[in-house]
Amino acid sequence: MASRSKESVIKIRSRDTVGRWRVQHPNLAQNPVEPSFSYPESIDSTSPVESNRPFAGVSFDALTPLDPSIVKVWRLKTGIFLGILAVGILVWDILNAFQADRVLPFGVWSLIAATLACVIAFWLPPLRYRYWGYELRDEELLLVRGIFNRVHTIIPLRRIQHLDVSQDIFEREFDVAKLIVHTAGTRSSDVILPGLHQDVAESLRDEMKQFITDQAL
Amino acid sequence: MEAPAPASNPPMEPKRLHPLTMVQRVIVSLPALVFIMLPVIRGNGDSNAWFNLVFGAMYLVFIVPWIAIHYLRFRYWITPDELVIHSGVLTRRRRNIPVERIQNIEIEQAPLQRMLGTAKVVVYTAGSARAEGVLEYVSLAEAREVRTVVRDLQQQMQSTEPAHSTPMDAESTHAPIDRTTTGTEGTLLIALDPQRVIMSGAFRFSLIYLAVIFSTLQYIEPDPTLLFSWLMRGPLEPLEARIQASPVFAAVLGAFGAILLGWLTGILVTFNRYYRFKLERIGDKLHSSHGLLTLKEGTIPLSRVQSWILRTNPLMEFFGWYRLEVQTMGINLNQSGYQVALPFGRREEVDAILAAVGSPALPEAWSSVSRLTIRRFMARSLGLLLIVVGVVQFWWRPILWLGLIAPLLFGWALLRYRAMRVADDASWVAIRKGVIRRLTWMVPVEKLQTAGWYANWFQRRLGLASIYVDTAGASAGRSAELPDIEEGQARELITRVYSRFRTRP
Repeated sequence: MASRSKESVIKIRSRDTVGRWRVQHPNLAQNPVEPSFSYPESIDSTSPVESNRPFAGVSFDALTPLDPSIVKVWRLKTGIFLGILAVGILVWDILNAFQADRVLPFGVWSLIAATLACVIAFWLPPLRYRYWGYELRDEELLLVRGIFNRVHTIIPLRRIQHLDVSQDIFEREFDVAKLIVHTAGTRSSDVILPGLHQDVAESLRDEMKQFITDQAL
Repeated sequence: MEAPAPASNPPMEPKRLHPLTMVQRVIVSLPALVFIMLPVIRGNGDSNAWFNLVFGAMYLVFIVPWIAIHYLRFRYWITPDELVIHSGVLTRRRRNIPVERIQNIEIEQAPLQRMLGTAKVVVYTAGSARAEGVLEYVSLAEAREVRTVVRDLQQQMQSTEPAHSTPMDAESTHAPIDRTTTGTEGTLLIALDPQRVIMSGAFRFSLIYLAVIFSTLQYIEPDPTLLFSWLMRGPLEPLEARIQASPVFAAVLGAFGAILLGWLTGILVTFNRYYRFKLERIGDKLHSSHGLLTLKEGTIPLSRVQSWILRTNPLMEFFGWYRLEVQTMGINLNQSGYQVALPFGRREEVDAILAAVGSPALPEAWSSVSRLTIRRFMARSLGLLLIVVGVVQFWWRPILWLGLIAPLLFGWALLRYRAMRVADDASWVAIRKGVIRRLTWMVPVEKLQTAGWYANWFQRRLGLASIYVDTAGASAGRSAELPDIEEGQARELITRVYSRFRTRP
């Protein structure tokens, strides 16, 4: 896709088939963005064949992955959140240190909490990253995400009301941004696409912006 | 400063509200005055009476001028582009509502306004669920004219829309004033006779009205025992003796009485609300009017209908009755984004209405969801039951009896499975579900906002997925979703629906 040319300026890291990341030089020929499934026969007689691209068989490998830096951001955020919980448990542990009827010696609960926090903060974000993918097609944005609850969302580009690119302090540190797509719908009135490189987020926004129409509802 | 831009040659001069507005506002505020003055009126002669009298006098000194100033400050007019409302006593507000954004203009007449020949005009716009502009009160003729002028302006806009550069000529901007009666003729889609409305109320049993009655009674504070003996005088006296003899009998009779009262108030409230319900099609809008004491007139622009909802319950469905609702953007929040197109009617009448507004016929072939949904429901509810019973039984043994509801759960799962259906064709996606509250969403394909499917871990293990079709303005808890379709089918269905959407303009 020619419109995706802006991405090629950025260093793209993508996953190989096993799910590990590989760093890819932009000048290399293979483009991980290209979907790997084929265009099947027309499903509906009224729809033109060439625009009829299915969502069946969409796999994470065929979708555009997020920016790998988001894993660090997520690790930081989960780490801080769980760290606060662990500190809470530590405080409780200290307060109960001299209770006569305590089951475990001082520090055991805190240690368990700290270990759990570390394990989760280390292990969950890559998994989240693994199960997040998006694809900008010529008329729609497709999002697939979720470790446990796998959600597939189709957002027709002409339904977009407005677009936001936002960054919090952690994301700013790693140059990632999230793209927030607002539609008039209720269930998914704002769909969040996190973990894009800032330039990618902006180019996506600019690309999608042209589809916004001010049609009355 | 009050005059509109001279260039646009306004079709309407700035206007005040109806002078009787002041009288009505004073009347409406009287109950508060009476409440303040209650000790004085009762004449108990306690020391607070003077204090209350002073309070009442202050009330008159402030409120009456306030009402007068509010009346004097309030101006409204319609330019070719906007409805302008200037109002406010201390804080002055100037509100400009773009005509093209106006979704619905409701005309409301409570009993007092009907006596005085005035009406309240409520203007709703897209994008905000609450009323954007309120004119209370103008004369009924004026209210209708506001509606007509706005509607005509919107029609002109639509006709001049393609050629953006064409300015509106002076004639067309002036035209709406003279055509005050345009648009009042239309095709009648349905009118309900009083018997039908009463019957509709009979199906609308609700204890909410009962609660309202009792809270009002509490406010008036009658002596319950006195009230009881007053009710039970004369031929009912032997009944009173029996009630006082047996608590069980009293309880049964009390429950029976409550149900009867709830049923009767349901009938009364429905009768009051939907008396002489009429639905017309005028141009590209639906126009409804109804009400016994408070008259309500509402318009629904057909182009802004997001989806149709058919509602029923097992009892109503058994007798073949349905209720048709319209989901639009920016309609009254009290109705949570839904307007009633037909409060109570036969299936054929619903189909006739849909046909009359130019909607294609509904899909015929409904398909069920996967039978595995029964298993998933049972796993979920039995799991929950097991946890609750398992934990609570440590403290309270009788909870184990709750285990007896397990077979009932299976029955419920079966009913739930049988209620869930989905259908789609070239122009519709329809989703039906609900055992007691049976809802059918009928979403025109071109009104889709986003669509998708999702599956949690357990659903994926069973090879199931839930689908959803989102429309603009659907309330969060009540959107068109259907769980537990076989995953491949779910994907196919959404792809099919979406590819149809793509071909629409």
